[in-house]
Amino acid sequence: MLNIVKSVNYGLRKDTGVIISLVAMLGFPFFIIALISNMDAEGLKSVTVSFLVGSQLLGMVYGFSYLGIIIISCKAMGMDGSDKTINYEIMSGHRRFKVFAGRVISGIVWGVILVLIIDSLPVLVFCLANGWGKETEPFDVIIRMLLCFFPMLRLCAFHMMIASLLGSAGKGIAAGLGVFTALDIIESIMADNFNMQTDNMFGFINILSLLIPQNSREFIVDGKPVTIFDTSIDSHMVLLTIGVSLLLTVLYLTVAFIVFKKKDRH
Amino acid sequence: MSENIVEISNLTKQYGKQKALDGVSFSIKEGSIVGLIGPNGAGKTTIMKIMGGLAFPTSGELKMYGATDEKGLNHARSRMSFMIETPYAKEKLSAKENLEKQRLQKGIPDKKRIEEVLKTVNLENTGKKVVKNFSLGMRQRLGLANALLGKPEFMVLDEPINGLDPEGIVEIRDLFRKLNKEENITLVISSHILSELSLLCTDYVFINHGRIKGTFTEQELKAACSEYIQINTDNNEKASSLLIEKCKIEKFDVIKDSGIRIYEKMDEIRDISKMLYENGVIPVEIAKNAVSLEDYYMKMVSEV
Repeated sequence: MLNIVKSVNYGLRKDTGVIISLVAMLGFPFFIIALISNMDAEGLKSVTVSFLVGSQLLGMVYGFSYLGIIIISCKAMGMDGSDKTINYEIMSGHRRFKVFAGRVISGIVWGVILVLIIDSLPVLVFCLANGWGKETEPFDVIIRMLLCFFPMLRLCAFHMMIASLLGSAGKGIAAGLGVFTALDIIESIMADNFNMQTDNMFGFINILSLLIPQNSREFIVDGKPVTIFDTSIDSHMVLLTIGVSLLLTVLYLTVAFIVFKKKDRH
Repeated sequence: MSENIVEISNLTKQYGKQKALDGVSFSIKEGSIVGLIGPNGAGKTTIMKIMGGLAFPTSGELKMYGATDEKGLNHARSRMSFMIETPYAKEKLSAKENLEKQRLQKGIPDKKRIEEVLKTVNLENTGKKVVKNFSLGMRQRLGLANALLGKPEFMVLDEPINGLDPEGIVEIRDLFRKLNKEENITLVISSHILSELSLLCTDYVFINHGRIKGTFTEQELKAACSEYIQINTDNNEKASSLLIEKCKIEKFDVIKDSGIRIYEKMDEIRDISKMLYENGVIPVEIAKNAVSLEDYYMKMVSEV
């Protein structure tokens, strides 16, 4: 299996789409922050981690990485499907389980862990530069950021399933974006017409729910108004985030593997 | 004595209502070069796919290197290499990069092996040129390089000389001979270029409509593609009856628009001619010919 992982990693390193996605995810947050602060040094000095959380920028950064996760996940699972690379791995004597699992591992490393690291960089950079800020609780925010691993994992698994079933990264990306858009529309309709919040139900914007504080209060500190954001975490949120994500991840990957294992390859 | 490294018994593959393979049985000896011959859709590629693990048989048994279970077959495949249908290639990578990816998945530790195989197939000077810009012949060579990468003991090749120029065909034929003679590599080759196969193969398997039409050694096929007497007369029907009645000849074929081919009593051509004339049949054409491999192939695959 390690050989499959090495081979898939090699392919991902050489893929222009993956590199562009990673660079875009890396550059996007700093670009947005630069815009907001009007490229002003004084403006940049006021960007603390709490500012990123409170202004919903952190949520935006993680939300933007959806596209990167879709592209990378589909590439990891599907890019070798259309040109027979997977066939040659099977013909080399690798069990189908190893061929599949190797791709899942690569997809998770590149599409979840690496993306999480990239998304955390603005937090690290601005924490070192300007400090954390008083408006949020560091421990809570860090836990929320770490919890994002689970919905990202679910997103990655969903798109790996689509790419595997369709046998192509391109088709997987197109279908994945289509599903994402459709669900976004459904969620808007549910919210606008039926007053139902379905974020956690569909899960794709579970990440936004984790990173965008729902409550805040204004306090006067040293004569100045300060907004304190409620970033507290309850066990219900943690269990739901982890439990639902893991359950669906296993479901998606199982469905994909069952088809992959049994299907004649062309 | 060479042992059978592949034994296929009653292999059937059904796609819906269509049988791609119907009770196929044959074996492959270690160290042989087997020509798998049949028209498009005959079942050659299906057999190769089943051997390669890409397709699952509906029924029957595949034994490779003594193994019939999945684990054993996968282990057998690690000793083999395959080139089935279009050769493998990632379009946006160069030849070296393609082989590097394959080297990694096969777990080949020696990076120099890439240069060695590229040199063997004459692709060592492609540099950074991506496969997208390769000709068909170059892609074929890359597929062969990939097949050679892991130093296999057994190679299964689907139309390996497809797209190669005449010089390339000779090179690859010599390479196969060398691999077989010097390293005892067993080869299964499917091809439509029968003249090439006849210069290379030690054994032949004819297949059509998913069924084996015949299996021959090189010697048996040479004997089958033997000489015959070609006769054309003004009344071939009467001539056929006379051959049986007067000359006790039974091994002959009546070929529409071509006359009669007689496969026995090759030294009695004069007597046959005299007999026909004496019985009122005028021989228009009478000569000794030989069955070409193409003719034999057409005969084999046209039989129901």
